[in-house]
Formats: sequence, structure tokens, C-alpha cells
Amino acid sequence: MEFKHDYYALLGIPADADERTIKRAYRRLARLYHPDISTEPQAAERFQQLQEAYQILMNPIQRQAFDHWRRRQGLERAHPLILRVTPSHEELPCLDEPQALYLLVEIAAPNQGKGSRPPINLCLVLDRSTSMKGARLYQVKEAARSIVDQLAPDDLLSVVTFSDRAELVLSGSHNMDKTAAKIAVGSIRSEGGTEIYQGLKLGLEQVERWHGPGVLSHLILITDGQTYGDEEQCLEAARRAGERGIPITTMGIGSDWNGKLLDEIANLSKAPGSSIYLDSTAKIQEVFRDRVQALGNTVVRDLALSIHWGQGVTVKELFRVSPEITELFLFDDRVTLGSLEMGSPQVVILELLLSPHTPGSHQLVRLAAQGTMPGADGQAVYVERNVETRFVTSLEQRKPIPSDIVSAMGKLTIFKMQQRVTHEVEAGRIESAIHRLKTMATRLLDIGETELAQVALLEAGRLEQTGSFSSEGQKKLHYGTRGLGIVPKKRP
Amino acid sequence: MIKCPFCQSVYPENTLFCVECGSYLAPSDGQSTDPLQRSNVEYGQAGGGPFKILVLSIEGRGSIELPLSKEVVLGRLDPTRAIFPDVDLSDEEGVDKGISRRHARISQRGGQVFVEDLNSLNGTFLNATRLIPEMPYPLKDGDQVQLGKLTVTVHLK
Repeated sequence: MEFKHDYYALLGIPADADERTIKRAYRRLARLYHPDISTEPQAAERFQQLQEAYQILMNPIQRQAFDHWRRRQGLERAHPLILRVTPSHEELPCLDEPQALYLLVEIAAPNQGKGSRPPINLCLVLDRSTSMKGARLYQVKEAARSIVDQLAPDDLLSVVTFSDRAELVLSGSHNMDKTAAKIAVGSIRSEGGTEIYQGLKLGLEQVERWHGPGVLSHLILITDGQTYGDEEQCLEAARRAGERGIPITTMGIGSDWNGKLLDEIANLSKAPGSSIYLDSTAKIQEVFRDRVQALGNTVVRDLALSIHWGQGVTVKELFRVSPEITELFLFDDRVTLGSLEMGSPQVVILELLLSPHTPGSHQLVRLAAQGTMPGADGQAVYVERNVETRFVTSLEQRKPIPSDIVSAMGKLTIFKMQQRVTHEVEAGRIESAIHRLKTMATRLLDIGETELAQVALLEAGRLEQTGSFSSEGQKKLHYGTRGLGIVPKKRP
Repeated sequence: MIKCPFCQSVYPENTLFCVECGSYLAPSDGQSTDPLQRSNVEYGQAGGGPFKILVLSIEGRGSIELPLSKEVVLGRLDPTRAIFPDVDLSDEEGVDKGISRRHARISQRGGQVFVEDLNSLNGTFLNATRLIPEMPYPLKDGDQVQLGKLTVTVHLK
């Protein structure tokens, strides 16, 4: 007997799933892809596949035949999503007042070794305004050239530059002529102002030409200046890109660019991280290379975490702490996390506030991670975990809090302090901001971040004297504290 | 409700960190520092290891004996930052004498006792020579180790 799809993967369930699990997964996805209500592309087709999957898996004889076929096809590999939840406390005392509970949620992909990856469809959108002249543009061009070498024959690369207007330097095509591509990149000259929207628009058009479920589309935007008057258009373009599944990585060089705008573009386009701060031009090549490498390692895209909580539980705060620290917001109990790359797990910290509970075990939260696998068939993956906590009348012995949670929360707290300092400076509460910056410096020293601590002290001194931040120091602090969550990467 | 011991902000029970000042709020989970016992100790003769006991003495203040079965961290106790050195020198004018929270470490490997500076601000000196941070130096009986401005005489038994 012949089958067309891996029905387990289609339903996002393990191969040993029982009937209840199959039913539940089917109902959930059927609601999502029902042609009458769904807005997803190819909903009707997906719905049809789901029907097929359900009929076959619920019939024991057909399921056996399918299992046999699946083994022959070699589809029996590890589930592509791992969801691990560590609570700060396994046992809690019964109190007559609210108490806090932290959950460390890790979403990772198992190492599957080098499989064949779908082709990359990448567009580089490069700022060539006058301020980029010299080392900056040189390094950007070098970085673009090294990407040309990094890509496989199937991959697509286009390059767009912008100043007051946008130009297409290299148009994407299969089996790109690498020499010609490098010459085209080398011919970029710096001149003119900075209008990000022009570049973004042309860049997205280039990506759109080859965009589809079978390719890994991505856009990298790099700039060193402020754009004027077209911020709204940029955000609209980013939102559309996010809906179409084209993430935008934004990078800023130096200290004069609009970090908020670049952050928002990255977030709206559902990029895996926020904007990247390049304080020295020497980092450009490395950051480009890492980005493209990570892109090739995409294991799951459109990753989302759903959080369902019961009575007596409130989600107080939600932060991503790795690959970098970002505050997350829930829409319909769901938060989108972009794509998951092999070797770089997404880690989320959930702070819950629990109202008084009766003794005994209580199910507090159900967490579910879902996404689609890259590739032409776009299989759905789904995994869920229940979090239970035991409430006891008297705690006999306090268990130590897992060190991962303490260390993540410590870094997160520093990040939050930095956010408060920024708000205080904006609101003119300079005294309080100075005090907080100094305390922050001590905390940074405690965890061994001497360089950042010095920046914090320097900025505190500047605040005392001038009442304002230096834009460079502010960027260093913002991006530095945000990057505290990054686990140092092991170089091969 | 719990209160931050530093800035008096109020949080729900089990909160881990104070966002106002960044202090660690959770109880220290039974970690503690060995209390400094002042007693007169008779010093043994220097010789080859392995040594069982480390004796630290401060002139005019007395001595303390510690087992050398595990490493010994010298510094200043700071429960709000979850720093628990094995020997707390706060009472020896630790702050005024420039002792870091985690200042130096004494450990034994293969019968030889070493002292190592833990990147302290004001440095660790062995017989008046400043140590390169995070590099273990061999210690012998009767050596003088200076932490910031505080001199400690080391005896091995």
C-alpha cells in the first residue's frame, strides 16, 4: 500500500500516540484549517490531508500498514521539537496570600546531523548613504562577498542598496555566477541620504519572486542612520513580510540609528531575534556569517507557544531569555517566537502569580509549542506539556531553586533595571536613574560583566553632569543587557 | 508578602529578585559560612603533603582551622547576592581593607597546597608579591598571604 504523507508529522504527534491524542490533534488542526473559516493558505488541501490522516490512523489495520510503509520510507526519526519545563518550585506551601512561581520553558530541536536543507532565499539590503563611507561600507561589502561563497548552488541571493533611492545590485537566480556576483557587490559606492523604506520595498520584492513554502526566505537590513518620515511605511512593510513568512533581520552600525524602529521591524516580521547592534565594523563579517549559517539551520518555523492556565493562576510576566532577552506579549493566549534554529534553543521565562490553593496536586498551566517544518510539504509539529504543582500545608524541607532559573532571572532583572533607567531619564527623574544605574553596575560586576558595568558607571557620571545619556552608551547598555541571555557559542 | 532588605519594596511570596535594586530575595537554601572560631593553635612543622588542616591566623585577632578536604574561598559574606565564602572576613574590617566578596581560593592538589586570586579588585599578595589573577601559586607553611590590606599567615598541618 502506498501513502503520500507522514501522517504523524502532519498531525504533529509521536508515532506511538494513542487514539485520544490522535483525536485531539486532529480536532485542533481541523479547526485551524477548516476551509469555511481558515485564512491559512492552501487550507482546503491541508484539511483534506488531515481527513486522510485521521481515517488511516484511527483504523487499526490501515494504521499498521501505514507504520510499515513509514518504516520502509525511513521516516522514523526523532520528533523535531523538544519542550522542557522547569518550575522554580516543585512543592509550594499553602498560603492565604498570593505567591509567585517561575517556569523556565525551553524549546529546542534535537541534533539531527546534516540533512538536506531547503534552499535559502536571501536578500541583503545595504545602506550606502554618505555616512557609510570608508571602513563601514568596506566591511559590509566584504561580508556580502563572503556570503556569496557561503551559499550553495540551490540558494538564491539578491543584493539591494539604498540611499535616497534604492537600486538592485544583484538579482537572485539559481546557480549564481559567484565571480560576477562579487564584482557587482564590489562596485557599490557610498553617496546620498538614508531612506530605509525604499530599500526595504525593493528588497522584499526580490524575496517575493522566489518565496514559497519550499524555501527559507529571509531579508537582512543593515543601516547606520536615521530614516525620516517613512517609519510608518517601514513598519507596514515589515508587518506584511511577517504575514507572508519573510523574517527581516535588522542591524545597526555605530550609534546614530533608530534602535526602536529596527527592533519593531524585526519583531513585526517575526524574525528570530531583535535588531543587532554592531559597535565595531570588524564584527560585521562575523555577524553576517553567523546569521546565514543559522538560517540554514532552521528546523522549525512559525514557532508559537500557547499558554493555557486554570483558575487561580495569572500570567504576570513573559520574557524570552535566550537567544536574547525580549519582552513577549500574549495574543489569544499565544505568543509567536519566529523560527527555531538547530543549536540555539528558545528559552522563555514565565512568571506566574498563584492565588491561594487547597492542599494537593493542581494542574496550573498547559503549554504547547507548535510550528511547521521547512520544506515543500510544510508539516506541522506540535508538542505539549502540563505543569503540575503540589501544594502542602507545611514544607518540610526547602529544595534549592534550580540554578538555571536563578541565573536567568538575575540577568532578566538587570535588563528590567536598564529599561527602568531609560524610562526615568525620559521622564526627567535623573536622580533616581543615576542611583539605579549605579546599583545596576554592581549587579553587572557580580555576574562578571565588567565591561558593561563600566559603561553603566560612565553613563551614570554623564547623567550627573549633563542630565542625559550619550547615544552610544545607551545603545551599549540596551543591547548589552539584552544580550546577557546569549549562551556563548562554541566555535568548531 | 516579602520585603526587599535593601530598598523595602514589597513582593509576593517566593519572588526571586527585586526589580528596584536587583537584590536576590529568595532564602539562601541552607548555605552558610563557617563561623570564625578564635582559638590558640599550636602550629605544626612544614613538610610535604598531603595536609589535612589549614590554619589561617591574623595578627592580634587569633586563628581559624579549616579542613583541606575541599577548597576554601576567602571573602566577604553577602547573603543578598547569594555569595557565601567559606571564610567571611567582614568582621576583620573586610570592607575597609579592600576585600572582595570572592577574593581568593586555597585548595590542595596532589599533596601541594595552592592559593589563587579570584580576580579581586585590590589583589592578593603572596609574601609581598602580587599574584596574577586566576593562576594558582604553591603555598608553604608560614607563608604570608595579603588580601587587599589584610595580612593572613598560613600554616599547614
